Amino acid sequence: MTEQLLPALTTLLEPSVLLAVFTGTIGGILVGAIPGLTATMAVALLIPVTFGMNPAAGLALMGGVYSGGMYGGAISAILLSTPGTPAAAATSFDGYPLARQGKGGMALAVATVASFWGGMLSTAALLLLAPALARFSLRFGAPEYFLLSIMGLASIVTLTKGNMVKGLLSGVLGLLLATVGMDPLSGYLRFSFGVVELYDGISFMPALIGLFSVSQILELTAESRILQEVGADPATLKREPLPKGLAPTILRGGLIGTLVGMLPGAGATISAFISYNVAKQLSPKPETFGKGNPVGVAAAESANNGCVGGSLIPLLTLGIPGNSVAAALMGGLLIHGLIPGPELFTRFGAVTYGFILSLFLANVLFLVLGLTCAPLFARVVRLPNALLIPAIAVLSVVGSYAINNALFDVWLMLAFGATGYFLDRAGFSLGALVLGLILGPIAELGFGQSLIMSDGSWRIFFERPLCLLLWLLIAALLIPAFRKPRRAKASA
Amino acid sequence: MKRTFLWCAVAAFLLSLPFAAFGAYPEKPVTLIVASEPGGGTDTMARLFAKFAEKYFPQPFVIENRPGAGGQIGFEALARAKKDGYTIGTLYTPHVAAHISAKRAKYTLEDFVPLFNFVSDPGVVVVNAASPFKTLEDLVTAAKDKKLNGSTSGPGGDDFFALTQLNEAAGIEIKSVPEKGSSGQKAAVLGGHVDVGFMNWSQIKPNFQSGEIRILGIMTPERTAELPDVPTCLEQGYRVISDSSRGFAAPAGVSEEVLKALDETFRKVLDDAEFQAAAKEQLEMNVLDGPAYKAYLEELLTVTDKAFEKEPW
Repeated sequence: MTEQLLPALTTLLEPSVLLAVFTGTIGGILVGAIPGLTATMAVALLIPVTFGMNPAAGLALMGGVYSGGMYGGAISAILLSTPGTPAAAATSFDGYPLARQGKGGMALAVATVASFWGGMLSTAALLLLAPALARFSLRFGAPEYFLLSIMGLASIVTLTKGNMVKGLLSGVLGLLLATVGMDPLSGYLRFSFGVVELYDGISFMPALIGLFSVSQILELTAESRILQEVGADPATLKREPLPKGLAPTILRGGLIGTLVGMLPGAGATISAFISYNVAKQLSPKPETFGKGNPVGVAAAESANNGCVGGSLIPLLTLGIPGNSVAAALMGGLLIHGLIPGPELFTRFGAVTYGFILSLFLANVLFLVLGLTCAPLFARVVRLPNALLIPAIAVLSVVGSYAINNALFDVWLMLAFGATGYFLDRAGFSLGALVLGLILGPIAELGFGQSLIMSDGSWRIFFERPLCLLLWLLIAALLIPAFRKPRRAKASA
Repeated sequence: MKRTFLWCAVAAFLLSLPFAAFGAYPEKPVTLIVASEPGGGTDTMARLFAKFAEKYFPQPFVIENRPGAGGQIGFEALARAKKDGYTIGTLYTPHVAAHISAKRAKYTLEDFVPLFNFVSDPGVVVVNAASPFKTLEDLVTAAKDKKLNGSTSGPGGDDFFALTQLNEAAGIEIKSVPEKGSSGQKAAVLGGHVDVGFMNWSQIKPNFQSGEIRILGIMTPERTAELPDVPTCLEQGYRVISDSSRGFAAPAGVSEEVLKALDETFRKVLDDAEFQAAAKEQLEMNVLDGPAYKAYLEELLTVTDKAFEKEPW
């Protein structure tokens, strides 16, 4: 590998490649920040464009879009509670409260630094450990995916503030909504009422935009500004130092992101939720989560950017993309005759390692850009709501439409928005609902596949070593949540 | 002076109007509906075509992704599109026919004028390189003794049809473990979580070349030029013929003039050396012109009709 790095570095330093990384990263941040425009879409649009470019520049461009896009989602999630990408949903839990307290600039800086380290860590894993990690990812079969989704669902207990029954009910509601559409095992259509747009289930992004951003708009109509602290000026926060003690959280988040990211069918959203959950469980003050704890932002962002390198591990070594962006990237590789597999690291080493190195560069770029612009972006929350609400509303409508070019999704988004507002008012947890909606299909498919494989025996969930490990982790995540309330009651 | 200029401009504008109204096709961009998500095989095919068509067609082709419901949303949008030649779209099999067989589609094959098929991706029976099965015979023998699992892309898809065909031809019962998409199938086969996989050649090409998987049989009537050493299922005694194809169609009812212009453009793109070079790496090209494509689709429909009758999805 070392003998490949020097030519790779030379490739990277070509002006055309540097320009590609730069353009890609900035474009990615914009695409990521706008709900409805996704990195997947951007990479797909670029595939024919990169055909005429040299492979190194083409890949660097797409890698930049991917890295920048994953980070960009945090900006709108923090400032407007409108996650630009589903993976940034968990970022808004603590990011948005921080923005309301006038600490939007700090929250953005935390998100930038966490994204940076998450990205660096996972790219380093890609560079140094790709083949070994790819082999490991193959050990995840249907039963493991089922348990992984249970582990994600365990976060419901963490996400719930206050009434646990309502939290669990929200999760169940999400799971119920996830059953809409075609049964993955038999192909039977459920609850779709002949509406062809529902055959694939409820489209996730419109639901997310509705629940997070539209219900937020309705909430904001009662106030004049997002910013709650009257005296606070986000622009002066430029000099405020980053909160201390984030390093372990970011390190953990990056690892979780890398590991979950390399599993096809899991992805950045789940890793962000799991990382958030772990951070909250390990925190000495879990009750501050969801009210503006920077650790929550760091946990979610380090994990979703950790997925970038993670998802490329099985892609480059085995040709198995870890998520939809990686799948689109595979098209970009193939068009240049770069066929995933061992040859990519030997015969095409200069291009492949150049691509990996360009990801490091993309991370550095968004770090610099993000830190410079954070105070500037943070001013958004000072705008009067009379301006912000229409702007968010337009973004929500355009974003929901753009995902599938379907007007149906706009109605779906509005319906989720209105329902979400009342559910939130009544004390139900929208985070738990979203989690049920994302994880429902993965859990169902994994459960069904496992039982087909085992001929209907439930023992398959307990016989495999990785399954046992996952059960232990699930237990570890659940126990503290049930123990703490009792302790709190005892002291009260 | 100023006024004269203004009048001239108005006159020029008015004179240009009749040309705008009665100009030859195409006078504005043509929308190309892609019935799948950005980044997939169909999308890549359409985007490559659109890119190279720029050279030969006076207006751009604008890609509009309409994914969902196994292509049904995009197919329906194409069937219902205006018949003015400014909307064409993609079809892919077996989905376009399977939806009709399942009586879910709000279109029939008569709603489309098939233009050109570009891609045919043959089905393959694959196992992990570490698997004890070396031939289809080994697999069938083992399946008679114990229950085997086969990875497919889910009910109503070509992989599922292929599995059903093999089960029927060999009198065995391999169980279908459905996945969402080929990534999951690949992981299941490479990770040894299933005994066998029913997939398409393009999906496992890299893994075959690096020796991680073995192909037990290819589902074409005859061996292919690309894989001369891989036996067909048919020559091993099992009638399993399946592929997944991708092509272009216009809504039925567009004028002859439009069809002629489109047909010419497709032919020129297909002859373009640069396009061929780009397609070679990405697409399993198998060109069928309009009439041949139409015949292929009609034959496929009889197959999916039969399959639905026997085992509905």
